[in-house]
Amino acid sequence: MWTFVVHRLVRAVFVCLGISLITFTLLHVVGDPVLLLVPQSASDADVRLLKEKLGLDRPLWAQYAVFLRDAVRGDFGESLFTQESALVLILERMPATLELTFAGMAVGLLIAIPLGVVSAIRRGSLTDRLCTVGAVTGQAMPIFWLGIMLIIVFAVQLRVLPASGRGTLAHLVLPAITLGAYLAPLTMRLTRSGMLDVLTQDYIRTARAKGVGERVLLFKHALRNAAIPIVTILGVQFGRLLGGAVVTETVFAWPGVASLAVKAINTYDYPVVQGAVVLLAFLIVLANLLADIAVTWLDPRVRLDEDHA
Amino acid sequence: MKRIVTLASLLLLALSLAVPAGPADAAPRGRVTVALGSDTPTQDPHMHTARMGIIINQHIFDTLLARDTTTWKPVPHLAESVKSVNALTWELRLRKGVTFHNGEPFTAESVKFSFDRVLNPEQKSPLRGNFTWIKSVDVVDEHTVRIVTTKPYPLIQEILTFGNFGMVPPRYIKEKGDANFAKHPVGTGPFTFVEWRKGERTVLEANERYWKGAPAIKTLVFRVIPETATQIAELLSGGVDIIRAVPPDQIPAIERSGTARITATKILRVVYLQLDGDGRAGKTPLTDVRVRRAINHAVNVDEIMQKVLGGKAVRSTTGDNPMVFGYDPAVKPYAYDPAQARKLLAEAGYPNGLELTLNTYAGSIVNVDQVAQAIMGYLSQVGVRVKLRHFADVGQYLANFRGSKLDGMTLASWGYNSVFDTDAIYYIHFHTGEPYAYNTSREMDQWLEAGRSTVDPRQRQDVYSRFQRFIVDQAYWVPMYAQFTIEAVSNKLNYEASSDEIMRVHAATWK
Amino acid sequence: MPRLRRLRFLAVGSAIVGVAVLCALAAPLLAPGDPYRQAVGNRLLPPVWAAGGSWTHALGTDPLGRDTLSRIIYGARVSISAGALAVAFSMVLGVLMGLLAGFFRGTVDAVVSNFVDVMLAFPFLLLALAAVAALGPGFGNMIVVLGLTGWPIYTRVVRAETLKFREREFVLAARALGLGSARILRAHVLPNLVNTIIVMASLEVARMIILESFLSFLGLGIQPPTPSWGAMLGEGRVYMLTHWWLAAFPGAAIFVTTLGINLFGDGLRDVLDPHRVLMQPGTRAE
Repeated sequence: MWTFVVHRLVRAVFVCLGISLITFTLLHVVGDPVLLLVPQSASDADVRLLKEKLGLDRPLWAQYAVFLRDAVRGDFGESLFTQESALVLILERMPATLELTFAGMAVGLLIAIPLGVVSAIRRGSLTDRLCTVGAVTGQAMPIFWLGIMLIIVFAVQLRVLPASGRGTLAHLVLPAITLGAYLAPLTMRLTRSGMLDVLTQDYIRTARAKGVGERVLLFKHALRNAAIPIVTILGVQFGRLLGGAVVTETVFAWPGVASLAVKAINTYDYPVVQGAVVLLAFLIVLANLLADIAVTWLDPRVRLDEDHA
Repeated sequence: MKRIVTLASLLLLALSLAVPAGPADAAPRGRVTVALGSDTPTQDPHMHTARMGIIINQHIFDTLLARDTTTWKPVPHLAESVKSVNALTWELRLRKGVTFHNGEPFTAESVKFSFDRVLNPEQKSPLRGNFTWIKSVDVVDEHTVRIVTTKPYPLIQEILTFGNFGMVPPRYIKEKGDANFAKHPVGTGPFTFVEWRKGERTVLEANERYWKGAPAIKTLVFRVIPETATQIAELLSGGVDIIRAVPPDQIPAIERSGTARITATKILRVVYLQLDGDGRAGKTPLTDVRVRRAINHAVNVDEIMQKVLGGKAVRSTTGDNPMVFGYDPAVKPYAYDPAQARKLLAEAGYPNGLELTLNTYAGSIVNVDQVAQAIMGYLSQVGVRVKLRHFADVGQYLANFRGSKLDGMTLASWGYNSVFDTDAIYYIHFHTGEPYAYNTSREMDQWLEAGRSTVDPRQRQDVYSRFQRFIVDQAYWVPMYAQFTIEAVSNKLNYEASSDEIMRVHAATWK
Repeated sequence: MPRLRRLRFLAVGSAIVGVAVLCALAAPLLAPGDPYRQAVGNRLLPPVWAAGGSWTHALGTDPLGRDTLSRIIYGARVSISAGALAVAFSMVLGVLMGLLAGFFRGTVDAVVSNFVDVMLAFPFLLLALAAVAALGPGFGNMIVVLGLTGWPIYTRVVRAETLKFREREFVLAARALGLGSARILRAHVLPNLVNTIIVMASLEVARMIILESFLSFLGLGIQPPTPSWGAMLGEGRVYMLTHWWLAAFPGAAIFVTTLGINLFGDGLRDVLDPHRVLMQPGTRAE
């Protein structure tokens, strides 16, 4: 088990490296932050001077080497616009993003898993069909549309919840529902199909033939096995969740890392983008790692495979 | 640590409150929240050029000169007078009895420090480029400074109103350092700083000892809300009191709401269609004046203003802003005349029409997609097929602009860097060798240089009138309109939008 | 559950998808007007049943006076082909990688899994954003970006399932019989994955259509004046309080199409795998 975890941790480092390289290349090939830093009326000489000062005139690989060397020490450089440590900027905003994603995930799972299990057991029933329709509706709803609708209904019309911002628990309600609704449909459908797969498998049939009660069958055997794809998907979903957080944070003026990163992408504030993406990616790697560990716990066969790999 | 600093500033605040107040105004009360689309990068006024930052700065800091809110001309503020001693020397007499929020007195030293700070290359202030005409700033006595310039500089009063050239406290900055100042600003302005949560909100409290008298509002909050739909929802639900950049189509809904109203006024930013008359970005039919005139005849600018902008725009016939010095209202624009446009195109050798690129970019231009698509619609009526190239990123747009890559037509805008003078738009767009110039000639260079070095207003006006007649005749641009700033404000407040796009919430009062 | 009802789902789903595809293919014949023709004098007209509406513009007009119905019909072209192409691209890539990794394991698996981890660990929207910002917006680039960012999810699931199947009796038996890897993959593993892939792909088409609107929301999607449902929805969001139809109709188009695609996918799954229907709890034939 520990060998496996160490293996995965080493891999996680490579993943973060890969991500930093992709981000770095994408940003540096196209953008030019210098023109956003000088007044519009600056002369070309001013522009060149600033470029040299920031080290942006050096070859790409050299810039990447410098970036990597500093990043290892936890230094992602300074924001080109505020001259503040990018790491500090990001960490300041991290709690908001974590709060939002965990709340969103909780809402999403609370909706998705019970409904997924019920629709699998009562396959074809009215409940199942309603859930399917609900899932498709959720899936078909762009979250910014949902977010704005929720604001219109609960903040503008009913005036029971604040429209945007972060602070009290009430502020968290609408963004968490929005993000949860983004997560729920796919999770529900995968729970359902995972359950269905398991319910039709030989050992369940055997167990059932042996006279194991339906309830025990369902929770001890079926759900445990159905959990494998669900948990795998959750690790994956965490990445999507952060993607959804980009839009949710924008709509609800939620001061998180995702919206910071979008803004930084638009202004080519390289240090902030790189720091944010690498840190967010690290979180996702961590989530996937946890998901994998959970899967090995649920399914011994996978663990054996990995250990020998 | 942060908490301790906040506590310290609260203590300072408490101390400052203990000192007897100035004019006997009614005590400040209540809380006003203003929504901004993005946050300020720093609270240090000298270290950014962001509009949102300037808006916040203006409430904490005072500039040497301010603008009269009806004529928009510079008027005394921290400087009581600005007098020319000789061609290269200006003398500023400063207001007496002004103190910074931390108790530090505002003196000639503060002014010298502020200038030197911006001018110091090590400081890396982005404002520096606007101040390079200064040779030195000298303290004459406690309330008098002299500014020595390297060349005659007619625009000095304009520069001294610069929204982010606030006067900063020398002792505080020297003791606590720049990094602290960027997070805990101290100025002489109508509000004192309380808290800044980055990307979220800036909280200010009324400065009850403000030299102009305490503001009417006790607590002022600037909240960052990027999404327009959310801003409007917050306004209608009472979560915020003032929003800016209201889309024209949302005006009726806000007016009808019963909770808020619209305040709109003309601003410096002009919108125009630049044509690549030099062929700077490559071979183009636009080097032919007949094609440029045809395009001028084809676009119905008045209809765009009425329908797409809800009438919230001022027609410009030359591309210059009617509000600034040098604009000539006598110059007539091309009439909307599609038939004439088709005729000109045929004469130029394009009886079956032609294809042109239209470059646009996100930001600054109100309803930019709609304006661009409306232009495309008009041009297609006379046989000009338009290929749209939209820059989602302003940096890329500017890079292409400077890099001679904006071929064909460009839906551009210009904000004058807040200088109310014709020089601020034409020099950079028409003088040979300037980064944004896609239409140049020896003749225009001479006029532009004359306008820049002449101090006599009548002579300058004459030069700029001739210049504008010339560029309209040559149809280098399709002059369009000057924009409005459209803000919405809660019915609880007396507040008006400003033509320099700086929100003056400190001047707002309760109804 | 009666087989017939599942077939009815399939029929309804096919009908919806059919209509959407027909709109896409025959847009010029079906649309009442030119989706690009603007008349600023007729801007923001409401739909026919609202006060001020008329049959000339049954679903109203947008801020440039263009006919919403025509734009939605033409938008089907852009949105459906964008969704389908992006899914096809990512599915083929993702399934191949997943099969390879799950079946061969070892170095192949390590390489693929690491790559998948990199891609999955990348916040999707940020990756798409950075990529579109790099490549520039446009239809082709968008498909590539959506496709490239969409494949790892197939790989992940297919790999996990393949690992599971690998140890199943029928695959072990096939191997014992001396069948080659490719043959086993094609004949035994892949068919067993079809269900999962269909479910995922059907959801992915819808997701891609929606992601296109995300990109539009952030200003990087399909460029105007080309009508796409996502772009229309994005443009309409500021108008949700005042001119609801601008966001509601393209939203409805996306919703109905997605629903159709899902019913279609579900129905197909049952038809393709009758075994499962027989085996399901409560209706067991045994």
